[in-house]
Amino acid sequence: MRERRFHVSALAFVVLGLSLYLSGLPETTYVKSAVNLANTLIMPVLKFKESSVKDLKENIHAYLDLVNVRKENIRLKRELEKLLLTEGELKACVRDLEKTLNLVRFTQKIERTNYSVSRIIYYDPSGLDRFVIIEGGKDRNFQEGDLVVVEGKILGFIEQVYGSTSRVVTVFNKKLSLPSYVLPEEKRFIYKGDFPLGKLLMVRKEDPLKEGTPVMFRLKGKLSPEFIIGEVIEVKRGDDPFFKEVKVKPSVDPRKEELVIVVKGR
Amino acid sequence: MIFAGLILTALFLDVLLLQGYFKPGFLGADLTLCALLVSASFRGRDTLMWAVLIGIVKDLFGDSLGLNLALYTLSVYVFNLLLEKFLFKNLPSLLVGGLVALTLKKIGAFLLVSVKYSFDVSLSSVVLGVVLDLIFMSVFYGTALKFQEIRERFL
Repeated sequence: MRERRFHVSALAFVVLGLSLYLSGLPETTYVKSAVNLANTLIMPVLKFKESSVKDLKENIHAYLDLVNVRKENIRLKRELEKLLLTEGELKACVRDLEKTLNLVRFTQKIERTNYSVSRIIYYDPSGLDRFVIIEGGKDRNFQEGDLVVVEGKILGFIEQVYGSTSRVVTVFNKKLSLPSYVLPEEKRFIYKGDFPLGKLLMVRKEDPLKEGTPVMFRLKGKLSPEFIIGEVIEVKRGDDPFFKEVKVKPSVDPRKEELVIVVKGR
Repeated sequence: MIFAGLILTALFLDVLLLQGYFKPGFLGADLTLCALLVSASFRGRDTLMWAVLIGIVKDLFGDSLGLNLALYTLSVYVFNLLLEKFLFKNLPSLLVGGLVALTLKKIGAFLLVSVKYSFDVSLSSVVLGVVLDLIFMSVFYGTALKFQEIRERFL
């Protein structure tokens, strides 16, 4: 490019540009139509520009959101790890607890109860039903203190063991004393036999014992069912300043029974 | 053709991406002018016509007919004068000359636009624009040198 032509053309374009910009000539009809035509030609590019910028902004925002989500994920992952750790600790605690329970069961030494069926062969001739004689004695390994029951009701316990028979004191005998309890709170008392009605001892004045309450007995330290001794039929304040007078009617009638069950190893 | 493609690519990147992130856009980084200045350091006065064309196209994009035509032409013209006067042959010299041309363009744009419109100037935006301009020119210059080297070796 020649020296003069270069300078002139450069300055001419600069002046033209400045004139176009400052004069407001592009606002006139002809120039504006030319600009519009040019704009129409480059419209696809402008649209592409707009969509590209929009997409880019959306992508950038999505990226930033993703970064936030990732941070949130990291935070949640940490919390999850903590919770899993806690869960692991809890499981370990449960295992320890189960082990402890097993150990406690072993220390309780709960034994199975042995039963033996027998038959009443002799009744108290006095009519007071204070004892009965049952079949089986040392020959069947009966021992003094073994419980004798009839259909879940207590008849008494073996007082004396002979060779092939045993003497049983019944719930009507003054010699018989049993630890007992009443439902539903399982308050503990002592049952003392007597004819025709037994007594419940150690019932304090404030104990809310009512007539009709069953008096129960359970073998201690053994897996055994509850046995019923009798039913409270009379509750009096009595002469004793601390304890009530409670009378219990035994549930069993020895004279009506024949077959009995001996609960061994009381 | 390759040069035309590169310049147009720079122009599109400029108007599509860069100008949206500078407020006001004419004070930010100018990828197209950087490419033109680097081109001028290799091709000399021939770049002037490209500056005119690119100025017009950019005016159409920005709907400000005449502004970029005048400023691009002026910048490339001044840069050419400096190039011929001081014989820039290395990167630091190119950067100094380019910085002068770019500053001229930005001051001119600031003055011309402020005649018609009022706007706020962000100093950080201006500084970032200058830094990016220097980076663009360095990258373009390095790329052009490599390209020239390869072409001389194989042709």
